[in-house]
Amino acid sequence: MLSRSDIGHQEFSLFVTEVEPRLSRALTGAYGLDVGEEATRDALAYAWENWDRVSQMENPVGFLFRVGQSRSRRYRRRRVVLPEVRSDELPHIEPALPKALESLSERQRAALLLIKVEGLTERDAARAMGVSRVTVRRHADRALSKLRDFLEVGDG
Amino acid sequence: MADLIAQTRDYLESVRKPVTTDSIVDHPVTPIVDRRPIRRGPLAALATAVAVGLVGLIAVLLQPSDPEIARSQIVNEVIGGSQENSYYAVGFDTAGILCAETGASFELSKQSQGVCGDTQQPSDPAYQVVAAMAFQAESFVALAGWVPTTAASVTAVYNGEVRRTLELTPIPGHDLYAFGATDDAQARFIEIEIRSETGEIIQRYYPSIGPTD
Repeated sequence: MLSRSDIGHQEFSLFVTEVEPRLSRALTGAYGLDVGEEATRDALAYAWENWDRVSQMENPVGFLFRVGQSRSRRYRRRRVVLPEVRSDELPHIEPALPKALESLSERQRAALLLIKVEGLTERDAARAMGVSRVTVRRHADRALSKLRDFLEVGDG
Repeated sequence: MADLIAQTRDYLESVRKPVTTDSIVDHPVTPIVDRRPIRRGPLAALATAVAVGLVGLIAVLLQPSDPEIARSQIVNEVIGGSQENSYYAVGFDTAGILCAETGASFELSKQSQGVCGDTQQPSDPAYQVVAAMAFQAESFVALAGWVPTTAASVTAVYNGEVRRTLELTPIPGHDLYAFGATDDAQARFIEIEIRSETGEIIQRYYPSIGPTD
C-alpha cells in the first residue's frame, strides 16, 4: 500500500531509474555487494520518506550516498570483499580489478567512485563524504595511482 | 586511465544488486529522530559516567600543563561518538585529539583532522566531525554527536545557566547522540538541549542518564 500519491510515486520511480544505478555502483564499490545493496535500499527509502525535500535537490546522488554511508554502519564488516570478474561476459575487464579495488581504503574507493566513475564534482563528492575538497581529490588521485600500480597499467 | 574507469564502472554494474522502486516503498524505515541511544542499566550508566568524567578530568589535567594550548583554542573541534560503537571523543584542535572509549582505554592522538582511535579504520564515520563547543571560562564543555536532520542547534546548560549555543550543520542520515564533559572531576554533567530551526526542543539530554523527552 502506497503512502504517497500516484503522481509522487511515478516521479519517484523515474528518480530511482535515473539515480539508483549510480548510487548502487558507488555504495557497492565502497562497501561491498551486500552492504552496498542494503545501503542503497536504505538511502532510497530515505529519499522516498523525504521525497518532498529530496526531489528538489540538485545533487541527490551525493546526498543519498551520504545517507547510505551512514546507514551502512549497521551492516558494515571489517573488510570489503568484491566478487570476481565474470570473464566470459566481460572479457575487457582486468581479472584483478576486484582485488585492486579491495586494496584501496574505504575513503579512496568512495572518492574514486564518486568523482571518477560517477562524475560528481569534487565539491559534491567532498560534501557526500564529509571531507574537504582537497582531501577528496587526494583520495581519488591516490586511489587511481594505487589501482594503476596494482594492475601494472600506465597512465594512459 | 579512462579505460580503467570504464572497466570499474562496467565491473560494478555487472556485480551490483539492483534495487527496485517497489522494494523501496515497502521497505521499513526507522525515523532518524527516533534512533536515539537506548536506555541502559545502572551499571552501564555508571560506566559511562565514569568514562565521561575521566575525559573531563584528563582534559583538565592536560589544559594547564601545556602553555602551547591556549584556552581559546581548546575544543573547537569535536569528533562524534556513538553509543552503538561505545565510542566517545573530545577533541583539541591544536594539541591533538583526546579519545575515550567507554569503559576502556584513553588515548591522546596528535592528529588534528578528526581522526583518532583505531588507525586501521580512519574512515569510520563514527569519527565524523559533527560539532564543536568551547568554553573559555573556568570550565569547558565538549559535545559530540550524530545530528538528526531536524536539529539546528545544541545548547549546553550547566547548573541551570545557558552556557553556550552551538549552531549545527545537519548531516543527513546521522543519528542523534550527544554527551558533555566538564572539568569537574566529580563529573557534574551538563544538560544538553537539541533544538530545531524554529527553536523547539527536539530532545533534552542528560549525558549521565540518557535522553528524556
